[in-house]
Amino acid sequence: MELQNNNFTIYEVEKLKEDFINEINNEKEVVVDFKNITKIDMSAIQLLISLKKSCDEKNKTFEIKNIKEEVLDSFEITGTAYILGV
Amino acid sequence: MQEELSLFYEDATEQLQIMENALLDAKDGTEDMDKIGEIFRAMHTIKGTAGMFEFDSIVSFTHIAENILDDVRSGNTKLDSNLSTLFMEVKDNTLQMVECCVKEQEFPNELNLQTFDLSKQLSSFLEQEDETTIEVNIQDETQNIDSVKNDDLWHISLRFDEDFFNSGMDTISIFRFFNKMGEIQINTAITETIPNIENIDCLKTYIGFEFDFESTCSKDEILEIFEFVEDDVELEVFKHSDTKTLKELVEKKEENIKEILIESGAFDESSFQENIETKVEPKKELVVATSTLPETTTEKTVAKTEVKNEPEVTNKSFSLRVDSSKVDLLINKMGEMVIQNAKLMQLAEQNANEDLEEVSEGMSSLLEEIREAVMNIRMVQVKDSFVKFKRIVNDTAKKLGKDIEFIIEGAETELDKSVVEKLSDPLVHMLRNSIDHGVEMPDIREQKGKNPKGTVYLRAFPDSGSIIIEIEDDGAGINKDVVLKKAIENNVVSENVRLTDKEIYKLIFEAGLSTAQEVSDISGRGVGMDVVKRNIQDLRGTIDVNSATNKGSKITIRLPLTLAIIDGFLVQAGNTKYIIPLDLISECMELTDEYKTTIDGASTINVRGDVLPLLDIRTFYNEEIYENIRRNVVIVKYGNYKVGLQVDELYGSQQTVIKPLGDIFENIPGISGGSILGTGEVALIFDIPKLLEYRIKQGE
Repeated sequence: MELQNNNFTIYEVEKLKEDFINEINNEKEVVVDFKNITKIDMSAIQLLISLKKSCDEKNKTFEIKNIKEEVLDSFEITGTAYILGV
Repeated sequence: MQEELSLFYEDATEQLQIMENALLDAKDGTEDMDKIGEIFRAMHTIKGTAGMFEFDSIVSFTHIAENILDDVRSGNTKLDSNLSTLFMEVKDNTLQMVECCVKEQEFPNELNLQTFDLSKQLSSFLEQEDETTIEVNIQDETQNIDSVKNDDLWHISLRFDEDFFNSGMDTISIFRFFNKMGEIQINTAITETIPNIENIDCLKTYIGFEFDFESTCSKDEILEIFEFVEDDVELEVFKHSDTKTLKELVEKKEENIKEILIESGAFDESSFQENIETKVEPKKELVVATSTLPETTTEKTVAKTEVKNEPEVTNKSFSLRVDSSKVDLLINKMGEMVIQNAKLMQLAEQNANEDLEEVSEGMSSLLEEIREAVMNIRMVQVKDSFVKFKRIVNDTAKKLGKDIEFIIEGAETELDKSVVEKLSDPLVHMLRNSIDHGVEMPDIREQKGKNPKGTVYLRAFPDSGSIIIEIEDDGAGINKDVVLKKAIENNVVSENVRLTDKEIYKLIFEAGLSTAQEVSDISGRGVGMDVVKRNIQDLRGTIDVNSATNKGSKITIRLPLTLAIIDGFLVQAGNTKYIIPLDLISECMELTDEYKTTIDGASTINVRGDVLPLLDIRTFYNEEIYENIRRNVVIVKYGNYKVGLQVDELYGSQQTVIKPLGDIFENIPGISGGSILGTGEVALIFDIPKLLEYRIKQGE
């Protein structure tokens, strides 16, 4: 699924949570496309980890693709890049 | 977020004020380590907090300043007058940047240019120093390399309140800031507690972090990073080598962090074994940032932390910030309570109930104490307000080419906060006047045989229930003849009136009177001093001027301690009760026909040969007139004017809580407010200066 907004922050997490639940129930592979995303915050990272957990529970693959440099930096600095496999 | 931003703003302005004061003291250069430390800390703290908000421009600007100050601290650079002046500009520039950032505005072009220019000037200092101190730096660096391995690696355990996201602070920015102060080595996110997507409440914070941080920062500096969120985080900072604390941490945390930490490579198995007690360095104690976890520390470390934190604790106790409206509310309710208690007392008296009377009396004295304590909350030292004037005096003197020593005395005197605030502008004006018109140019002073350096005093001290503020200079003094001439020219006084010296001096507070030979942009337009007078009167204060040719002038302001309560004198005229401010009353007397006289149809009263105007309150306010009762006169004195007020009944003095009257009563001449009496009746409070003014105008 491609995230449409540029921001993935506390203001977007509630809406995206619903989208993610939809995705996980309907798709075999959960692929989150970050090509539009330029800004994330900790609530977003936390939601992604939660999504990854659900994928692991349901034996579905999880992937985040097209991550921009500045967003990748946020994963790295928080030590979550490894957990999310980015 | 707004709240954090305003905290940041308050903190930054406070730091900059401290910096300014230190710089003013060191304007000719200093080697005083305390002063240099204050300047350094201001820049350092602002850099730190600005970093948390990602105000990068402030960070990089203050960073350069901080570097030079660090050099000054280590003795490599001297803080001379040039550098001091430069830092004053740096301070102003930083303030402008902070203001823009807080208002979320773009920097205006001039500010960018100014910042660039100052950065360049600062860098040039740094480069100069680099050459001369290169050897020292190399030495330092080698020392650093040696010590990095053991001492500069911290372990930080960070957990959040579940409502942490509400604080508006983004954790990612915190980590970015850590990387500016050092380097995050291994960051392990603790994700065990994060629920799966169906069960997560995505507005709550579940994640935690265990990370190693390499930096030469002290642990206080690390804790400072969390200053704005300290109530919302659970934080532990200890040296990586301190395995004892590490073990305590592992035992305490619910998550299985031992394995996580080993897996991430932050610690190896040996760090958790029992037999390496020797590695523990007891002097690098555990720091618990939140007060919720004291039980985890050993008694020994608790004692240590307490000793270490003591000065900080006392600091915090007097910097409690409370919205002033809360205090106002308290004072207001306090006033109501005083009124209610007065009612109670009256009831007890009426019913001759002694027990009740006793209780009520006990309550009275308690209320008195509480009221005093509450009023005390509003009292602040005039110091903070006064030290700001240093800069103004300094700048004004520089602009005019005068050399002035500014001496503040009695800065610890306490005054009502609202009075202090309203006093600021008038004082600035009077100080500028003293410097501009009072103190002469250095060469003229020398000709007169005076010290070329002029002196201006600003004093504050309590005097029998009021506060006196004095501004004194050793300048030329007020030229009586010039003032009088101007006053006559401007129709402020008529030509054939004889005035005492003091009355002439006081004319400087009249509108449209400027005796300055030349109008400067500092003072001399004749507007201002009359506003000063008005402001002081609004504070129920009085102004007095004294002057001597070539010796200087002294302006004395007498202010009430507080605006909310006055000592009043209760009287009755017709059916209405009135309160006259007690300190304006000079005497009371019975009005008999022998005193009463008339001049040109106007009532007057002859008091031991002094003929004073007599104002009948009953006719003035259209009160009912009762005949055949004792008539009384209260003689009030304001400035040099004395007037007799004719009333019916005199009740005596009482503490009066001033309440504002509604808007529709705003224009009643001579009434400044109301007060509720114990009986529930309303009494009107006279504004004597305005009443006299009105009367005089009417008389004319």
